[in-house]
Amino acid sequence: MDNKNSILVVDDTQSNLDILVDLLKMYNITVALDGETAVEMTKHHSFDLILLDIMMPVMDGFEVCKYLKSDPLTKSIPVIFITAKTDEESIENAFLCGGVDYVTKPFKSRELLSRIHTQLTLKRMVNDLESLVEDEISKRQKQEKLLQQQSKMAAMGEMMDAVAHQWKQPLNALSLYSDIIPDDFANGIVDQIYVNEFKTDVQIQIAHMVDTLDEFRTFFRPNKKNTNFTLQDVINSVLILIKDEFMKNAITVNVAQQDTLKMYGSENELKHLLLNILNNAKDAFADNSVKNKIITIRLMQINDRNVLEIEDNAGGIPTSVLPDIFKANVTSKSEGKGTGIGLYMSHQIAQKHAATLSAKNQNEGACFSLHWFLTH
Amino acid sequence: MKSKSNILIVDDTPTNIEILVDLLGDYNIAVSLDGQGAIDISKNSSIDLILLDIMMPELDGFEVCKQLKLDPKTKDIPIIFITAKTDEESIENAYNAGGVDYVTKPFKPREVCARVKVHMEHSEHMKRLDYLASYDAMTDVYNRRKFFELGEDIFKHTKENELFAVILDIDHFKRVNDNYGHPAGDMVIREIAQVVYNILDDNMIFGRIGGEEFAILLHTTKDAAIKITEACRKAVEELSIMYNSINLHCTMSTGMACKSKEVDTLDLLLAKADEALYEAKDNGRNQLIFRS
Ligand SMILES: Nc1ncnc2c1ncn2[C@@H]1O[C@H](COP(=O)(O)OP(=O)(O)OP(=O)(O)O)[C@@H](O)[C@H]1O
Ligand SMILES: [Mg+2]
Repeated sequence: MDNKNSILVVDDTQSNLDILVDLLKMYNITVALDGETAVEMTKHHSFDLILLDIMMPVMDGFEVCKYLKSDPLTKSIPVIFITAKTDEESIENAFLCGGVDYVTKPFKSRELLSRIHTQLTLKRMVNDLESLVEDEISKRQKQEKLLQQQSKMAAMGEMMDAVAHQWKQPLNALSLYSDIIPDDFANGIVDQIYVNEFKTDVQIQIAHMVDTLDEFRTFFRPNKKNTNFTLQDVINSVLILIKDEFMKNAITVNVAQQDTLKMYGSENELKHLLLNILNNAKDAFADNSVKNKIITIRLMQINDRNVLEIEDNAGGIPTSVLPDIFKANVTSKSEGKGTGIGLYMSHQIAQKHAATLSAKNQNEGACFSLHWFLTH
Repeated sequence: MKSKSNILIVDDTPTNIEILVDLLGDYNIAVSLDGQGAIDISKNSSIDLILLDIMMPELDGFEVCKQLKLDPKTKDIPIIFITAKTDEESIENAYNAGGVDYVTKPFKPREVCARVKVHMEHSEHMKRLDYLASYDAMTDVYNRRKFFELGEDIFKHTKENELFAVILDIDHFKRVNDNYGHPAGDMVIREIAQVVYNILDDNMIFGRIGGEEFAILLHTTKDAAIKITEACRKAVEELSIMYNSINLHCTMSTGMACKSKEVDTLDLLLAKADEALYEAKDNGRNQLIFRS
């Protein structure tokens, strides 16, 4: 391996150069008779090592070495001084300039060879490590990029799931409207007022779908516009969205206690949270035959805490799913009917608003509650 | 920031040692008057550079150097020979034995200082590079490359049934990144690495081998391996990480396998542990599965 190393030998005495060239036959040797030429050569060639005389006219060895050490391209080339100067000051100076070794003339050939060999080995060790480090750095960068991409994809997937989940409700409502209209027409109750109302209902559902789409596009990005809102507003707009469907299923929604509860964050996300819970109750009613289907919503301020409760009388949550109910993919519904992301999403929304969502069975059904602290 | 470097001076003549101790006042100095003492000190304390006399009774400098170069713990310590001998043969021998430099008595004090400094700088540079090449920048535990390098070595030197590989993977890690952003995810990785690292002993090899994946190699018994892995899993489960005033909680799944007649390469061993890990994930996460 050593024979491939290229060495620049700088000395202003031709006879010195001849001796060195002869001694260093196993290397690729380039010679320079003065300092300027040596510096010039390092710009066009990459050398593994430089043997440098100190006493030269114009630019002496110290200057050459200082110059090479100041240039990022050449600063890591080891420089060995070969000189007739044996005073301590010169020796110290040589090291201070950036030299790695100092050999006095007349030199002993085998000693010089050993010193050159050692410096080349040390340099190679550094080079090997440096390329390892570079490898590691580029590997790490690639890995980070990949991770970011993967999580972006995962986020997109979750977003699609979330949108699909929240579109089910308005799509149901829209299909319900189109189911009713032929009957109502046959019964002769479709008049101008009916059409106007119909149009408004459809527009509300569509507007909600558009909002949902916008909402989830920004769901996974921080720093979107947050506002102050009250839970009454949230409940009112959700009740409009679901009124026909719940009426058709003969479910009554009561808002029992109405303290004014304020929250800061995304009003739309809170709508999604509430919709998920109400739709789950609707599904629970469909699974059994309760006569008086009632959902009770309570808005309560207890000391410094805000509490929103949604209680149904649909028989309660199966004990098998209760412990893991807020985890993703936990569902008791058959394939195709439930994906199990509704409550997972709701839980995330709650967390984002510094609130806790919990579930328990109480009275004749399930009771979900959302707690958060008053902010002043 | 940086503590002083440690230099070991080995010479059988006390006056020489005195001169050198005076000269090298900027460093922490340890001394030895004989070769065996030098070897003992090098193995048991962290020496950054050795100034080594060649002519000593019993173990001479060449022999000391050769022995130090054979031990992985001491092989990278730069050795500068000091001697009254100036013949070419001695100089060549010194380099062949593995020395990096050679100074002759009587000393030129400033030359000795300069040479010591050059080699000290070189070896610090090497140590820095070695660190960068071997440790994961985020967690300060071994990176994948170093883990496998050390892993291959320990695999060769252990018998069947006494080497265990564990792969640890943070559960639902992507959600942390998605919900709280990458800085939060990075923090979780760092904290978990730290917690696990603190539980492990020095002789266990612990590295980050993937984004949210770590691995441990344990040379021990099955019971001990299970006990320590469970301790890690529990500690992570109980860990609460504060990020922007949110408390983050994570769990991790762990898969373990053991070197055996069939599992006779490191890759196979880790593949087995990986299978076990997947089983743990399928089984509901936050648990240890051992694949024998
Ligand atoms: N009001 C409730 N009464 C009884 N069980 C409920 C009620 N709300 C939720 N559950 C139970 O919790 C499970 C999880 O609900 P979640 O909303 O997360 O998923 P899902 O409704 O099954 O599916 P998805 O909402 O994704 O379509 C349900 O499958 C159901 O078993
Ligand atoms: Mg649901």
